[in-house]
Amino acid sequence: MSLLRAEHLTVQFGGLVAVKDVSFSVEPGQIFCIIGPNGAGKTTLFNLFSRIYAPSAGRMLLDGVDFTTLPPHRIAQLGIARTFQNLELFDHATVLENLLVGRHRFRRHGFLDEIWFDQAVWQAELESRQAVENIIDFLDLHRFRDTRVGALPYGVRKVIELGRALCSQPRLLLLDEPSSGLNAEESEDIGYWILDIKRHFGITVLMIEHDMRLMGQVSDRVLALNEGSVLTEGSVQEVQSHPQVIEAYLGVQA
Amino acid sequence: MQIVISGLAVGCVYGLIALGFVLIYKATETVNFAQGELMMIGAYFAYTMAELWHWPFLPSVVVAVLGTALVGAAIERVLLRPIEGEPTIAVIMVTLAIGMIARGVASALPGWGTDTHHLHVPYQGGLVDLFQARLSMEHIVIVCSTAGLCLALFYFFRAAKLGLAMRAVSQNQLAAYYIGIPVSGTNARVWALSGGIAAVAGILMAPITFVHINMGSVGVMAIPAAVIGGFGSIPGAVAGGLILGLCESVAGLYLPEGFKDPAPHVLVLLVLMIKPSGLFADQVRKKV
Amino acid sequence: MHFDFKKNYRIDVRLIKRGSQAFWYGLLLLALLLVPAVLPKYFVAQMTFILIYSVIGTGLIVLTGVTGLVSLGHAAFVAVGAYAQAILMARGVPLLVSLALSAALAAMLGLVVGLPALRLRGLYLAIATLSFGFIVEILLAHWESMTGGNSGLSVPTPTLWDVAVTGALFYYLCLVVLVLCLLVVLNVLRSPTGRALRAIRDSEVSAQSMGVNLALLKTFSFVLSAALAGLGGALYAHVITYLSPEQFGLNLSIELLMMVVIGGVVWLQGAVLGAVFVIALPQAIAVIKDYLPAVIEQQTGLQPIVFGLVILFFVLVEPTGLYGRWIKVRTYLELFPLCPGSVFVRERHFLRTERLK
Repeated sequence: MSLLRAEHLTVQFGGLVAVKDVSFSVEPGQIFCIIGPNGAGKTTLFNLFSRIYAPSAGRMLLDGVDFTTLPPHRIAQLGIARTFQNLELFDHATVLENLLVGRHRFRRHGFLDEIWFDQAVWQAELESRQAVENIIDFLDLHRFRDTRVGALPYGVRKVIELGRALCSQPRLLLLDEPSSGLNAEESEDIGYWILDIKRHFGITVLMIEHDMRLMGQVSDRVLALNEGSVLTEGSVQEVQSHPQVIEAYLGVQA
Repeated sequence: MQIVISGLAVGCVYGLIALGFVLIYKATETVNFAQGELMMIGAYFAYTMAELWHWPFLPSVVVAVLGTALVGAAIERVLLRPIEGEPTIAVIMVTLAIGMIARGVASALPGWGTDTHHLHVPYQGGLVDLFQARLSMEHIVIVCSTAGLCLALFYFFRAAKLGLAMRAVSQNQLAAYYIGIPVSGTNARVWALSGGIAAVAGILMAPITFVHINMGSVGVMAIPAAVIGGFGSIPGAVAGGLILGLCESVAGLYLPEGFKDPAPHVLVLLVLMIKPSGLFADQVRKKV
Repeated sequence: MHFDFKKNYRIDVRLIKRGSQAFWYGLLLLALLLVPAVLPKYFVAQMTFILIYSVIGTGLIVLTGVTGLVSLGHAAFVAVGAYAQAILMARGVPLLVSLALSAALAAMLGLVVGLPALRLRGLYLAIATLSFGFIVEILLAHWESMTGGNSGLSVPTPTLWDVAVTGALFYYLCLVVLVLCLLVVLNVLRSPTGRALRAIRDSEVSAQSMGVNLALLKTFSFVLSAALAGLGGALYAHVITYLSPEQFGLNLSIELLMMVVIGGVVWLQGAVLGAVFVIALPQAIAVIKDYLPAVIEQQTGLQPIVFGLVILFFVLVEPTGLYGRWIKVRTYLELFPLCPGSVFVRERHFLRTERLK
């Protein structure tokens, strides 16, 4: 049974159809890559899965559960976490605090309990910090733990956003252009981390990528989009050699 | 009918002040809580020249408008440029402070002080019979002037280079810098324009409310007007002002005593709840 | 720039993070306890004012500084607390109960404001709160049967077990209330809720995708800050002893905002420092007036001008407020003589609109 199923998703903004009848499914444990030129609707799809947008038609299922009308703040509970193309970090907070917010879905105490701050709340706090330390270890963020995120370089901030998404212990991780703005070495690191995420944490990854090398390094399956519709879906080789994909995106030999 | 026209007239003044707000907001995304005080300054300038120095009416008006425009530009240059791009609260506080200082200074100046003054206008006291109602000339002048001003501004923003520059600056300051638009100069001109419009509003209001240091509190009423119309929309600002003015008049007529005062504020809240960005405004949604 | 070598997670979560903090705050508490014994009655009264304003300021900081929701009508919550207190005490409700009820009533009003406000962003929210503030002020003026309308309402003297709580006793009451309020807010701020509130301020979208229920938390922020404002208002009523609607208008809202901006809007310490400043300023003006030439001295406009100039100074020169300046001074002293100038450079921000047109 597939982990994520998109069925005939369509999104319309006024006259503009951003996503047109897109259907695909992602198997558990896969690293699934979405490629396509700018404006193809890739980030819009992600915004659909995060429930920032509501589809005009179609539905989405996670592990058989229809989440098409789920309120946006519940998708973390459901098991979906994401990163953003333009980095949406909490700039005034430290790295540690950013990562701790990732743990928000595990909060089990209400307001009054927190005001009282009894032993149970203490315990929950300490557990959160322990869990977050594991992610800091995994992503080598030790040096930056208590630094304000706003002061850090772009490459580090991308990693922090990845870390924050991981802290919510998702089943499905949506990565929006994880390597954009990174140099070759940082891109390679991201690639290894993505592979580790799949192997050690067992998290399914759905990512948007423009870097073909990274795509080739990590992906199990690829979906190509153009102007809101699916061009093709298949393995890395199949998609890369598909004539329509080459024409629309990869470039024809002159 | 009388109620409608007087409501419209008051609404026009709200609309003009709201227009000033929206201009500044569209260019710099800041709300000028001192817009009412700019109006007061404009009226006081006109008063000083027309009554204290005995200048003829029209030159007084022109100089008052220009003077207030200068004040507006000066405010931008000295006080607002340093806080470009800072969070909302900083700018709100600065403009509130400017309002306070303006009121304080106005009350301290000789000849101005805390008394209420009279500004004599050539069309004072005139009455016109129209649509079976007796309308005062003041109201008619207000409505016509507002209409004329709006038309002029409409063409200005469509066609004039400065108008286009203002629109560019309001959308992406950094990009505007890169293209070569002198952002700071543009902002100063926007404030100058706003100041001038405020002065016009003040002079139009003067025959009705007289000139005193608290006449700027109308500015606080004009904020809801701008909100109702939607803060990003210039025609919306004027429309919002008209709606608000009409609402006040009609509420005064039909609702029991005591409901007149909260009516405009309740209207604002209702509009905000139904259409959070105002009636005519653009969608405000952050793209991620 | 304290370099904390944290040995375990507990240190991070504790309220008092360093021994030095415990020492200095302990000293402060001791000083505050000794005030009525050491200072003359007039100063005790001023200190009481400061304590009350601090309570209100703490709430406002939670709403505006921490969650990022600007409120231009906060005086409305203070008003509700004050009037509720006066009315309840006049009907014989015991002091502590009526304080709690007044705070609760203000909190409910916070709920009423918070819920519709959820859909409003930044500026529109500020304006909605502005309108709301006006409506409350007008309602208070018109609901004469309850509030005495514009002719005002007098406030009964508070008593606790038949002892009149005034002067030094009232000061201690306010001190206890402030300490409790600070503890409550500090606990909220170090809990997941506090982090979520700060997250909302910085990026609503990603906070939401991490599971933060925006509606719930924004409402909570409104309710908490309204409750604190109401509590402060209830205490305020006893100090000014006579209530009238115009005391709770836009001017008070602006004064409250001014207080937190001057103090430093993102820190709780800012509430207290701001309160001190706002209470001390008119006193300072009154004192300096005597030394000024007669022309300036007589101006009624002097106070608003000074207030305005002070706000301008802080926003333009020291936007992080008094507490921010204190942190900078402390950092400089700690790093001395190795403090690089670049530590205090302010970031330049550029306007980037989120509007689509």
